[in-house]
Amino acid sequence: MTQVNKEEKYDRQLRLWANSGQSSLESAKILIIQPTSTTSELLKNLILPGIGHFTIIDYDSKINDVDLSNNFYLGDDDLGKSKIDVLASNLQELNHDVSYSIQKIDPSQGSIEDFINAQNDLYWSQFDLVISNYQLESLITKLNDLKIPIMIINSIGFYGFLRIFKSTFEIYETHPQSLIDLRILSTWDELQNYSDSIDLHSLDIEQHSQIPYLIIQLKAVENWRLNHDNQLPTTSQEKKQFKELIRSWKKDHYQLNFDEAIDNSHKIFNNVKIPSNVKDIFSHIDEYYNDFNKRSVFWILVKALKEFVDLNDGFLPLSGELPDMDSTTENYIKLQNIYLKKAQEDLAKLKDILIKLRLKLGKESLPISDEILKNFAKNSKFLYFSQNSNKLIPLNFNKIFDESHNSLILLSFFIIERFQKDTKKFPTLQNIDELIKISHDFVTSDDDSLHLILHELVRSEGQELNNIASLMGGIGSQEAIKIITKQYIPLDNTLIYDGINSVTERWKLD
Amino acid sequence: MTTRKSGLQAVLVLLVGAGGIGCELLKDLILLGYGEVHVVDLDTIDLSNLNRQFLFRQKDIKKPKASTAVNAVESFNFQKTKLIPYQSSIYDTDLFPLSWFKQFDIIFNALDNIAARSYINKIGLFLNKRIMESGTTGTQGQAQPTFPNKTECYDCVHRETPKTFPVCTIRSTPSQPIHCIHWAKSFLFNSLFAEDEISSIDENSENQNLGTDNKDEIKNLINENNELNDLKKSILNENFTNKVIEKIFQKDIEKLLLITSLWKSRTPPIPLNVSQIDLSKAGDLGTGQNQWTIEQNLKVFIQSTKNLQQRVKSGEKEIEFDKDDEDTLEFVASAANLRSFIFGIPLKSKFDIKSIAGNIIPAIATTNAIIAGFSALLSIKLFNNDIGTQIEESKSVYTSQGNSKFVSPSWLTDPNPNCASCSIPRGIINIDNEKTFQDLITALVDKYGYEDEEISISLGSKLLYDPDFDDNKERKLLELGIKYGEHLSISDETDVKKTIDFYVELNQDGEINLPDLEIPNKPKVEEQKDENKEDEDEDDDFELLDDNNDDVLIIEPVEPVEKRKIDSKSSDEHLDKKQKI
Repeated sequence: MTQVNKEEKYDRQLRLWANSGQSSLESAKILIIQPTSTTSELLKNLILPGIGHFTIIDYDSKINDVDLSNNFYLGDDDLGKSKIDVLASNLQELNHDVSYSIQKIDPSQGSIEDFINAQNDLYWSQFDLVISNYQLESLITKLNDLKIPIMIINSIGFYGFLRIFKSTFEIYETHPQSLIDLRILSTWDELQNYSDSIDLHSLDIEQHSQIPYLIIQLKAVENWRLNHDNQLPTTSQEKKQFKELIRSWKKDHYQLNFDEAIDNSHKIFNNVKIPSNVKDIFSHIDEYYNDFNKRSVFWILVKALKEFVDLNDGFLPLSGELPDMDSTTENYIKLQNIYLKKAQEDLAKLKDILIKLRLKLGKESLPISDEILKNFAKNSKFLYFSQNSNKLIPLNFNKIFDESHNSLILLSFFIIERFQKDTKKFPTLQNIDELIKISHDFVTSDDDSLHLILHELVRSEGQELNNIASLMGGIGSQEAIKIITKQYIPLDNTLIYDGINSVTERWKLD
Repeated sequence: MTTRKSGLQAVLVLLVGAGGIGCELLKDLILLGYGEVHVVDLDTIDLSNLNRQFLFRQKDIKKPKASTAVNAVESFNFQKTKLIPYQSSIYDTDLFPLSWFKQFDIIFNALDNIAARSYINKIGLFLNKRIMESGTTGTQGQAQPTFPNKTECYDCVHRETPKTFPVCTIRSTPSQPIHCIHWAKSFLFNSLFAEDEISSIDENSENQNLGTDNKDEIKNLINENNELNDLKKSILNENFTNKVIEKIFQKDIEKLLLITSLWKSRTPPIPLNVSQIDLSKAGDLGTGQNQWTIEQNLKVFIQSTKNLQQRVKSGEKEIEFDKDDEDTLEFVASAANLRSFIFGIPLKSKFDIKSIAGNIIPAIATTNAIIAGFSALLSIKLFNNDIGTQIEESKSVYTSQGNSKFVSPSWLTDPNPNCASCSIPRGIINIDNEKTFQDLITALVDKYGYEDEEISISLGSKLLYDPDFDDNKERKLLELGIKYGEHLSISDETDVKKTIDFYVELNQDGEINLPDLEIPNKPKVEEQKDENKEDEDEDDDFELLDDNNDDVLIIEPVEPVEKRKIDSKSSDEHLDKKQKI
């Protein structure tokens, strides 16, 4: 397929994650261990947008009647054929841009677990994401060492479980709702001079109606400070008065620019220079930047950002974005240039700092393109970082169970997984007491509702319901795309879906 | 031998839309085991659907969505759901009269525009049908069941009406790229290729939002129209392209400059001097995401105009703007950019212009799978127990990034008492449209006790009668356009009774049958609305996003992004279709 065609075919998603996200997706390789209905649905949703390559590992088996009623990627004609062959090729039918490979395991030669444990680092390093329906401790440990994310996703009956093991999330393209940062309260020379060059009250009505609202706000702030001991409005009463002040400057009821100034006035007083997420990231610089093994591009950029902030009165680089506003083109473009110039100056300063940093690092530095730097600077207010311990049994388990009722579903998945690991079979109603016993390995407290949930899960005999699988596959694929494109705020790191009550809940297991 | 079907096997479903959500939903519904599903979609399959509409393959492009989807799911139709596809507009009252909808137990909306959702909503209200509503925009989405008159209906929530621009801004004094794009698409392209005759400007009309009372400017607008009409007649001539360029980018601008009053406080435009543009500098155009130079824009404009001209020559009578039709897109993109250049407005890439002119909403497989999944699973609750319990147990869900949930469920809320759709009484009126309008008025007054014919009657948005406008009284109902499937609304001019809404059905027996309705009185008008608005402004957390699709809202009054509850925006799953009305 030609490039033009791809642009057309992927048009609707390029508008979300742009070319950078699309090329990450197209170069990504994922591994699915023992596909289920849920992970087949997940895979479908990754093949459609054009994931690069998928590999499936499964036991070699022939398709039987039960398979047919369970998995809609298998058709009646496929009866008796190799399940893994048919599944992979039917899935790939969805998008010929995607390639695949399969790994058939002969049960007489050993288990999938044996195969997994026998693979070396080189084998695992080819994958950008590994997806499985159970938490195999040896695999989690190994992938954690190699910094390869693993997603555990499973559905049983009406319940769904999703957990992501990824040592850190380091994301700058978080897609915030808006990048606009007008800094009405801390102007710089060009902006101040432009504002001073406008004598609002002497303009004729036509010009008066075309003054961009942020200039009106700027002047209102000046006026307020002058009459209030250089203080800003703080109480809601004062903020109302501030709006009244702007309203009183109207020369005509229908001046849209003044309405915009009033409607957007609440945004002026948010005077946080460094939001808490960025402060938190700064507090990790020593740990991540100074450690060669942890120092990613993200941390080199963060280190540069911190130095920038220290040199610039505590401000982050300006994004340079302006909202639409009622104004003449001339006024708007003047303002746009003022903001753009400031953003470019900030970017240039940040680049200088980065160059020095990378010189200092010498060979240890990593390549960083101007495009990445620019994107990082623009989004610097909205960085996302989190670290995970990736312990199979999280330390904060007890705390979570004290706080949330839905966590019992989470616990139940852990219990059933443990039971299956120990006995190699899915529990029946006769095993409920044993299951309750296992629960004490995880948490200290007892809860009667645990019986009900376990009962519900066991009753399903481990079967997936197509609709729950479809929904969980949707959620899993959404998160897989976030991991692969390194865009958007991820699900960090565990989710439960209760299909009986249509409720989801998520926790950070740590 | 048939046995009585039980559970979902006995349920008859209407699925409106076989697009992004529709494909997923169809799969989910048959895997749930619904007995019979009728699928309606007017559209055919496009290349840009394939990134998410998983029932379609490249070989299916141009085939109808509804039947292709139905064929594709047959291979896993394990519970033998009966499937019936229709490649038709849901508004088609010949195929889908109100009575046709009566057979369904539930309607699933998998639509991409507000108008169709609202239409189905009204059908639901007329027939007391439950609707499962759904929509996605990018990574956000929502699903919501509605019980007519018992829970919030689709129209209960105020949706932002799209911004429109005064004619003068578009035609004489543009100041933003959007103005030029609107001009290129809705004025220039339509005038030259889509319409028979350019609609005239009536300087005395109050309906047209000219946005100016400058006599010279209005006169100029009228002249421009006439000249363009003349130009259009020469569309088959060799030098058509050059003439167009000369007129719209040079002569029209020179004329505008003569109206000096326009440029007192504005930067005047600079007419394009084509002879000074060196087309050989245009070079390679690159991908659609680059911003073209002025040379490139002119080159593209010339080429696309010639292509369109060629298509007219080969017999295409009307070419409609379609963002997936390269000739039309490139014409609009280059024309908009050339105009922007003339007025000193920043240029845009073809990629961006496509998004604005084509009302494109980003859409991906993942969100559609999630929302369709919820839509299907929430529907199970609608077939257990009594209706009270169903409502009690039902939830709506919307995606949410801001809290500990992945999606936020909420209980269904009561109908909005001021909702323009569900707060008013409605019913079916059965008439012979050979009767006169006076007959109808008399019947209404007799039946519902209006005072002295103090009512107003509208057909859709067209006023047919009020006490100061009785021209139509002696005309036949048919002549006034009162046909099967039309909506008539009756308002009380004495402001006592609530407005009522009728769905028109016909008989040939010379009768006017009006339904038995209790028409309640209007509630007292609420005041203090502005105050409430102020309070919302105060709260930063409640701020809705500055969506970059806001641009999209402006061009066509079709599909605004809906702003619902906090942190949730739902709307149109993919807006790549024309409005189907």
